[in-house]
Amino acid sequence: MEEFSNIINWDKIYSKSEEFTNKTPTKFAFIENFFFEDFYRKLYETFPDISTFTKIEEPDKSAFRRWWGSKGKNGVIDPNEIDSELSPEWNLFYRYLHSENFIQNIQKFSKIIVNKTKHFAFLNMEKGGYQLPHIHDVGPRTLVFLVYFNKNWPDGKPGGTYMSKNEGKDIIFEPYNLDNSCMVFQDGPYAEHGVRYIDRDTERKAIQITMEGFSEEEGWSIYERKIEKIEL
Amino acid sequence: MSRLNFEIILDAKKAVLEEIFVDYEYYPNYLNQIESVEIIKNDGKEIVTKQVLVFSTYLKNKITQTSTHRINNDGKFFSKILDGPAKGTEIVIEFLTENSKTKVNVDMDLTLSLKAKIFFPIIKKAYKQFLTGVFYKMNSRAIQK
Repeated sequence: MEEFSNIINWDKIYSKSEEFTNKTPTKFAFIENFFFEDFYRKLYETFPDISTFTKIEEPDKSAFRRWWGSKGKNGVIDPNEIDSELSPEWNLFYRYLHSENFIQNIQKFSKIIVNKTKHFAFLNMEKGGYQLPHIHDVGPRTLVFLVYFNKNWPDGKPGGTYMSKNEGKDIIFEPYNLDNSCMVFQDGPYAEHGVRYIDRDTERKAIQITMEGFSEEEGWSIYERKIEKIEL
Repeated sequence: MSRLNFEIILDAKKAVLEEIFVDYEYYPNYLNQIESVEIIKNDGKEIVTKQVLVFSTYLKNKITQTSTHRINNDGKFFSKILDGPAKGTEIVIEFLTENSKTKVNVDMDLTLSLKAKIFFPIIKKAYKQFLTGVFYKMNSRAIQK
Protein backbone atom coordinates (compact mmCIF):
# COMPACT_ATOMS: atom_id res chain seq x y z
CA MET A 1 0.00 0.00 0.00
CA GLU A 2 1.52 3.33 -1.04
CA GLU A 3 1.71 6.25 1.34
CA PHE A 4 -0.49 9.06 0.04
CA SER A 5 -1.15 10.97 3.27
CA ASN A 6 1.42 13.75 2.71
CA ILE A 7 0.18 14.93 -0.66
CA ILE A 8 -3.07 16.90 -0.48
CA ASN A 9 -4.13 19.14 2.37
CA TRP A 10 -7.62 17.68 2.69
CA ASP A 11 -8.59 19.81 5.69
CA LYS A 12 -8.18 22.93 3.54
CA ILE A 13 -10.27 21.37 0.83
CA TYR A 14 -13.06 20.27 3.14
CA SER A 15 -13.15 23.79 4.60
CA LYS A 16 -14.42 24.95 1.19
CA SER A 17 -17.00 22.20 0.82
CA GLU A 18 -19.98 24.22 2.03
CA GLU A 19 -19.02 27.19 -0.14
CA PHE A 20 -18.73 24.91 -3.16
CA THR A 21 -21.99 23.05 -2.67
CA ASN A 22 -24.02 26.21 -1.98
CA LYS A 23 -22.91 28.13 -5.07
CA THR A 24 -25.52 28.59 -7.79
CA PRO A 25 -26.03 28.25 -10.68
CA THR A 26 -22.51 26.78 -10.97
CA LYS A 27 -20.78 25.12 -8.07
CA PHE A 28 -17.22 26.38 -7.78
CA ALA A 29 -14.58 27.15 -5.16
CA PHE A 30 -11.09 28.54 -4.95
CA ILE A 31 -8.82 26.63 -2.58
CA GLU A 32 -5.45 27.93 -1.35
CA ASN A 33 -2.70 25.66 0.03
CA PHE A 34 -4.05 22.73 -1.96
CA PHE A 35 -0.94 20.56 -1.42
CA PHE A 36 1.09 20.14 1.75
CA GLU A 37 3.99 22.57 1.44
CA ASP A 38 6.83 20.02 1.20
CA PHE A 39 5.11 18.02 -1.48
CA TYR A 40 4.12 21.16 -3.38
CA ARG A 41 7.73 22.37 -3.38
CA LYS A 42 8.86 19.14 -5.01
CA LEU A 43 6.15 19.33 -7.67
CA TYR A 44 6.89 23.01 -8.26
CA GLU A 45 10.62 22.42 -8.68
CA THR A 46 10.08 19.59 -11.15
CA PHE A 47 7.18 21.02 -13.17
CA PRO A 48 7.93 19.97 -16.77
CA ASP A 49 9.67 22.46 -19.02
CA ILE A 50 7.49 24.25 -21.57
CA SER A 51 9.68 22.86 -24.38
CA THR A 52 8.12 19.44 -23.75
CA PHE A 53 4.56 20.78 -24.31
CA THR A 54 2.47 20.94 -27.50
CA LYS A 55 1.38 24.41 -28.58
CA ILE A 56 -2.32 24.77 -29.33
CA GLU A 57 -3.33 27.64 -31.62
CA GLU A 58 -7.08 27.69 -32.14
CA PRO A 59 -9.50 30.62 -32.50
CA ASP A 60 -10.62 30.09 -28.92
CA LYS A 61 -7.21 29.60 -27.33
CA SER A 62 -3.47 30.00 -27.44
CA ALA A 63 -1.99 27.57 -24.95
CA PHE A 64 0.43 24.73 -24.27
CA ARG A 65 -0.53 21.21 -23.22
CA ARG A 66 1.30 18.10 -22.08
CA TRP A 67 -1.00 15.12 -21.62
CA TRP A 68 -0.54 12.12 -19.37
CA GLY A 69 -2.45 8.85 -19.56
CA SER A 70 -2.99 6.65 -22.60
CA LYS A 71 -6.67 5.99 -23.14
CA GLY A 72 -7.95 2.41 -23.33
CA LYS A 73 -11.42 0.87 -23.39
CA ASN A 74 -14.22 3.45 -22.84
CA GLY A 75 -11.62 6.21 -22.91
CA VAL A 76 -10.28 5.24 -19.49
CA ILE A 77 -6.72 6.41 -18.88
CA ASP A 78 -4.10 4.01 -17.63
CA PRO A 79 -3.81 4.70 -13.87
CA ASN A 80 -0.39 3.10 -13.63
CA GLU A 81 1.28 4.80 -16.56
CA ILE A 82 4.73 5.99 -15.57
CA ASP A 83 6.25 9.13 -17.05
CA SER A 84 9.94 8.50 -16.58
CA GLU A 85 10.80 12.06 -17.65
CA LEU A 86 9.01 13.35 -14.57
CA SER A 87 9.97 13.28 -10.91
CA PRO A 88 8.93 10.51 -8.48
CA GLU A 89 6.59 13.01 -6.81
CA TRP A 90 4.69 13.68 -10.04
CA ASN A 91 4.41 9.94 -10.64
CA LEU A 92 3.19 9.38 -7.08
CA PHE A 93 0.63 12.15 -7.45
CA TYR A 94 -0.58 10.70 -10.76
CA ARG A 95 -1.13 7.29 -9.12
CA TYR A 96 -2.88 8.94 -6.20
CA LEU A 97 -5.41 10.59 -8.54
CA HIS A 98 -6.68 7.12 -9.40
CA SER A 99 -6.82 5.79 -5.85
CA GLU A 100 -9.97 5.03 -3.85
CA ASN A 101 -8.82 7.44 -1.15
CA PHE A 102 -8.60 10.39 -3.58
CA ILE A 103 -11.98 9.62 -5.13
CA GLN A 104 -13.71 9.23 -1.77
CA ASN A 105 -12.24 12.48 -0.49
CA ILE A 106 -13.37 14.36 -3.58
CA GLN A 107 -16.87 12.95 -3.15
CA LYS A 108 -16.81 14.03 0.50
CA PHE A 109 -15.82 17.57 -0.55
CA SER A 110 -18.13 17.98 -3.54
CA LYS A 111 -21.10 15.76 -2.60
CA ILE A 112 -21.04 14.72 -6.25
CA ILE A 113 -20.70 11.07 -7.16
CA VAL A 114 -17.63 11.20 -9.37
CA ASN A 115 -15.78 7.90 -9.23
CA LYS A 116 -13.00 8.07 -11.79
CA THR A 117 -10.28 10.44 -12.93
CA LYS A 118 -10.97 10.95 -16.63
CA HIS A 119 -8.28 13.33 -17.73
CA PHE A 120 -4.93 14.71 -16.58
CA ALA A 121 -2.86 17.34 -18.35
CA PHE A 122 -0.14 19.84 -17.66
CA LEU A 123 -1.13 23.30 -18.88
CA ASN A 124 1.06 26.24 -19.65
CA MET A 125 0.58 29.67 -21.15
CA GLU A 126 3.01 32.40 -22.01
CA LYS A 127 2.66 36.00 -23.19
CA GLY A 128 -0.16 36.05 -25.74
CA GLY A 129 -1.88 33.06 -24.15
CA TYR A 130 -5.64 33.11 -23.60
CA GLN A 131 -8.76 30.99 -23.61
CA LEU A 132 -12.04 32.57 -24.66
CA PRO A 133 -15.03 32.06 -22.37
CA HIS A 134 -16.70 28.73 -23.02
CA ILE A 135 -19.04 26.15 -21.53
CA HIS A 136 -18.53 22.39 -21.83
CA ASP A 137 -21.79 21.08 -20.33
CA VAL A 138 -20.87 17.48 -21.12
CA GLY A 139 -22.86 15.87 -18.32
CA PRO A 140 -24.32 16.04 -14.80
CA ARG A 141 -21.35 14.59 -12.89
CA THR A 142 -18.15 16.22 -14.13
CA LEU A 143 -15.70 18.11 -11.92
CA VAL A 144 -12.80 20.16 -13.26
CA PHE A 145 -9.79 21.04 -11.10
CA LEU A 146 -7.18 23.59 -12.17
CA VAL A 147 -4.20 23.57 -9.83
CA TYR A 148 -1.61 26.36 -10.09
CA PHE A 149 2.19 26.40 -9.76
CA ASN A 150 3.26 30.06 -9.98
CA LYS A 151 4.92 32.15 -7.31
CA ASN A 152 4.28 35.89 -6.86
CA TRP A 153 1.53 36.24 -9.43
CA PRO A 154 0.69 39.98 -9.52
CA ASP A 155 -2.68 40.92 -8.09
CA GLY A 156 -5.21 41.72 -10.79
CA LYS A 157 -3.17 40.27 -13.65
CA PRO A 158 -4.71 37.74 -16.07
CA GLY A 159 -3.69 34.10 -16.06
CA GLY A 160 -6.04 32.35 -13.65
CA THR A 161 -9.18 30.65 -14.91
CA TYR A 162 -12.12 32.94 -14.30
CA MET A 163 -15.79 32.06 -13.90
CA SER A 164 -18.04 34.34 -15.92
CA LYS A 165 -21.39 34.92 -17.57
CA ASN A 166 -22.60 36.65 -20.73
CA GLU A 167 -19.72 35.41 -22.90
CA GLY A 168 -17.06 36.80 -20.59
CA LYS A 169 -18.57 40.28 -20.20
CA ASP A 170 -19.20 39.68 -16.51
CA ILE A 171 -16.40 38.00 -14.60
CA ILE A 172 -17.80 36.48 -11.41
CA PHE A 173 -14.46 35.40 -9.96
CA GLU A 174 -10.83 35.37 -11.12
CA PRO A 175 -8.02 34.02 -8.91
CA TYR A 176 -4.72 35.89 -8.45
CA ASN A 177 -2.94 33.70 -5.94
CA LEU A 178 -1.71 31.09 -8.40
CA ASP A 179 0.79 29.51 -6.00
CA ASN A 180 -0.35 26.13 -4.68
CA SER A 181 -4.00 26.95 -5.28
CA CYS A 182 -6.91 25.33 -7.05
CA MET A 183 -10.01 26.40 -8.93
CA VAL A 184 -12.64 23.69 -8.94
CA PHE A 185 -16.01 23.82 -10.64
CA GLN A 186 -18.77 21.47 -11.61
CA ASP A 187 -19.40 21.38 -15.32
CA GLY A 188 -22.91 22.38 -16.36
CA PRO A 189 -24.98 24.65 -18.60
CA TYR A 190 -23.84 27.82 -16.78
CA ALA A 191 -20.22 26.83 -16.02
CA GLU A 192 -18.72 29.50 -18.26
CA HIS A 193 -14.98 29.97 -17.79
CA GLY A 194 -11.88 31.21 -19.59
CA VAL A 195 -8.48 32.88 -19.22
CA ARG A 196 -7.88 36.53 -20.10
CA TYR A 197 -5.15 37.41 -22.60
CA ILE A 198 -1.75 37.33 -20.85
CA ASP A 199 -0.01 40.60 -21.66
CA ARG A 200 3.39 40.20 -20.00
CA ASP A 201 6.45 37.96 -20.20
CA THR A 202 5.65 35.04 -17.95
CA GLU A 203 4.61 31.42 -17.82
CA ARG A 204 1.32 30.37 -16.24
CA LYS A 205 1.87 26.81 -15.03
CA ALA A 206 -1.02 24.60 -14.03
CA ILE A 207 -2.49 21.13 -14.22
CA GLN A 208 -6.01 20.08 -15.09
CA ILE A 209 -7.71 17.11 -13.50
CA THR A 210 -11.16 16.09 -14.72
CA MET A 211 -13.27 13.64 -12.70
CA GLU A 212 -16.54 12.09 -13.75
CA GLY A 213 -19.06 9.40 -13.02
CA PHE A 214 -18.26 6.08 -14.66
CA SER A 215 -19.58 2.54 -14.83
CA GLU A 216 -18.29 -0.44 -16.79
CA GLU A 217 -21.77 -1.00 -18.27
CA GLU A 218 -22.65 2.54 -19.28
CA GLY A 219 -19.28 4.27 -19.55
CA TRP A 220 -18.85 7.93 -18.60
CA SER A 221 -21.75 9.92 -17.19
CA ILE A 222 -21.98 12.25 -20.17
CA TYR A 223 -24.97 13.32 -22.24
CA GLU A 224 -25.44 11.54 -25.54
CA ARG A 225 -25.09 14.22 -28.15
CA LYS A 226 -24.58 13.53 -31.78
CA ILE A 227 -22.81 16.47 -33.37
CA GLU A 228 -23.87 16.68 -36.99
CA LYS A 229 -21.53 18.64 -39.20
CA ILE A 230 -23.32 20.98 -41.56
CA GLU A 231 -22.66 21.74 -45.21
CA LEU A 232 -22.84 25.34 -46.39
CA MET B 1 -29.23 39.98 -42.37
CA SER B 2 -27.91 40.08 -38.80
CA ARG B 3 -25.71 42.51 -36.99
CA LEU B 4 -22.70 41.42 -34.95
CA ASN B 5 -20.94 44.12 -32.91
CA PHE B 6 -18.19 43.70 -30.42
CA GLU B 7 -14.98 45.37 -29.28
CA ILE B 8 -11.62 44.10 -28.09
CA ILE B 9 -8.89 45.97 -26.26
CA LEU B 10 -5.38 45.09 -27.45
CA ASP B 11 -1.98 46.15 -26.09
CA ALA B 12 -0.31 46.86 -29.42
CA LYS B 13 -0.14 50.29 -31.01
CA LYS B 14 -2.88 51.28 -33.44
CA ALA B 15 -0.48 51.95 -36.33
CA VAL B 16 1.24 48.56 -35.98
CA LEU B 17 -2.09 46.73 -35.77
CA GLU B 18 -3.39 48.55 -38.85
CA GLU B 19 -0.27 47.60 -40.78
CA ILE B 20 -0.60 43.96 -39.72
CA PHE B 21 -4.35 43.88 -40.37
CA VAL B 22 -3.92 44.48 -44.11
CA ASP B 23 -1.18 41.87 -44.45
CA TYR B 24 -3.81 39.43 -45.72
CA GLU B 25 -1.43 36.83 -47.09
CA TYR B 26 -0.03 36.33 -43.57
CA TYR B 27 -3.43 35.28 -42.16
CA PRO B 28 -2.89 31.50 -42.62
CA ASN B 29 -0.07 31.81 -40.06
CA TYR B 30 -2.54 32.82 -37.37
CA LEU B 31 -4.87 29.85 -37.53
CA ASN B 32 -5.11 26.47 -39.23
CA GLN B 33 -8.71 27.31 -40.06
CA ILE B 34 -7.43 29.84 -42.61
CA GLU B 35 -6.05 27.46 -45.20
CA SER B 36 -4.99 30.09 -47.72
CA VAL B 37 -5.34 33.73 -48.71
CA GLU B 38 -4.37 34.90 -52.17
CA ILE B 39 -4.40 38.48 -53.41
CA ILE B 40 -6.01 38.45 -56.83
CA LYS B 41 -6.26 42.22 -57.36
CA ASN B 42 -4.56 45.23 -55.82
CA ASP B 43 -5.00 48.57 -57.56
CA GLY B 44 -3.76 50.63 -54.62
CA LYS B 45 -7.29 51.58 -53.53
CA GLU B 46 -8.93 48.21 -53.32
CA ILE B 47 -7.62 44.72 -52.63
CA VAL B 48 -9.50 41.60 -53.64
CA THR B 49 -8.56 38.34 -51.93
CA LYS B 50 -9.54 34.75 -52.43
CA GLN B 51 -9.53 32.78 -49.18
CA VAL B 52 -10.16 29.18 -48.23
CA LEU B 53 -11.50 28.56 -44.72
CA VAL B 54 -11.77 25.19 -43.00
CA PHE B 55 -14.03 24.82 -39.97
CA SER B 56 -13.83 21.06 -39.61
CA THR B 57 -15.55 21.07 -36.21
CA TYR B 58 -18.77 22.47 -37.66
CA LEU B 59 -18.64 22.14 -41.43
CA LYS B 60 -18.32 19.26 -43.87
CA ASN B 61 -17.09 21.50 -46.66
CA LYS B 62 -14.37 24.09 -47.03
CA ILE B 63 -15.48 27.64 -47.67
CA THR B 64 -13.89 29.27 -50.68
CA GLN B 65 -14.79 32.91 -51.11
CA THR B 66 -13.53 36.17 -52.51
CA SER B 67 -13.64 39.44 -50.60
CA THR B 68 -12.97 43.04 -51.41
CA HIS B 69 -11.17 45.31 -48.94
CA ARG B 70 -10.66 49.08 -48.78
CA ILE B 71 -10.01 51.84 -46.28
CA ASN B 72 -12.87 54.33 -46.08
CA ASN B 73 -12.37 58.10 -45.90
CA ASP B 74 -13.08 57.96 -42.15
CA GLY B 75 -10.17 55.53 -41.65
CA LYS B 76 -12.34 52.48 -41.08
CA PHE B 77 -11.45 49.22 -42.78
CA PHE B 78 -14.27 47.92 -44.95
CA SER B 79 -14.55 44.38 -46.33
CA LYS B 80 -17.32 42.72 -48.30
CA ILE B 81 -17.67 39.03 -49.12
CA LEU B 82 -18.45 38.70 -52.80
CA ASP B 83 -19.44 35.05 -53.12
CA GLY B 84 -19.93 31.80 -51.19
CA PRO B 85 -22.42 31.07 -48.40
CA ALA B 86 -21.79 34.45 -46.70
CA LYS B 87 -22.08 36.48 -49.93
CA GLY B 88 -23.02 40.09 -49.24
CA THR B 89 -21.62 40.11 -45.68
CA GLU B 90 -20.02 43.45 -44.81
CA ILE B 91 -17.44 43.97 -42.08
CA VAL B 92 -16.27 47.34 -40.78
CA ILE B 93 -13.26 47.41 -38.47
CA GLU B 94 -12.13 50.51 -36.62
CA PHE B 95 -8.91 50.87 -34.62
CA LEU B 96 -8.92 53.54 -31.92
CA THR B 97 -6.17 54.55 -29.50
CA GLU B 98 -7.40 54.33 -25.92
CA ASN B 99 -5.17 54.80 -22.86
CA SER B 100 -2.01 53.66 -24.68
CA LYS B 101 -3.85 50.59 -25.92
CA THR B 102 -5.94 50.01 -29.02
CA LYS B 103 -9.66 49.44 -29.05
CA VAL B 104 -10.88 47.44 -32.02
CA ASN B 105 -14.52 47.89 -32.95
CA VAL B 106 -16.00 45.17 -35.11
CA ASP B 107 -19.29 45.84 -36.88
CA MET B 108 -20.47 43.03 -39.09
CA ASP B 109 -23.62 42.73 -41.17
CA LEU B 110 -23.82 39.01 -41.68
CA THR B 111 -25.68 37.71 -44.71
CA LEU B 112 -26.14 34.00 -45.22
CA SER B 113 -27.49 31.88 -48.04
CA LEU B 114 -30.96 30.37 -47.58
CA LYS B 115 -29.38 27.01 -46.82
CA ALA B 116 -27.14 28.50 -44.13
CA LYS B 117 -29.77 30.72 -42.46
CA ILE B 118 -31.02 27.95 -40.18
CA PHE B 119 -27.57 27.87 -38.54
CA PHE B 120 -27.49 31.64 -37.97
CA PRO B 121 -26.93 31.58 -34.16
CA ILE B 122 -24.11 29.01 -34.41
CA ILE B 123 -22.40 30.81 -37.28
CA LYS B 124 -22.69 34.20 -35.57
CA LYS B 125 -21.07 32.84 -32.41
CA ALA B 126 -18.38 31.05 -34.41
CA TYR B 127 -17.59 34.23 -36.37
CA LYS B 128 -17.17 36.24 -33.18
CA GLN B 129 -14.87 33.60 -31.71
CA PHE B 130 -12.92 33.36 -34.94
CA LEU B 131 -12.41 37.11 -35.32
CA THR B 132 -11.50 37.54 -31.64
CA GLY B 133 -8.90 34.78 -32.02
CA VAL B 134 -7.43 36.41 -35.13
CA PHE B 135 -7.17 39.80 -33.39
CA TYR B 136 -5.47 38.30 -30.32
CA LYS B 137 -2.93 36.59 -32.57
CA MET B 138 -2.40 39.83 -34.51
CA ASN B 139 -1.76 41.55 -31.20
CA SER B 140 0.84 38.93 -30.26
CA ARG B 141 2.56 39.48 -33.60
CA ALA B 142 2.37 43.26 -33.22
CA ILE B 143 3.97 43.41 -29.79
CA GLN B 144 6.89 41.31 -31.05
CA LYS B 145 7.58 43.87 -33.82
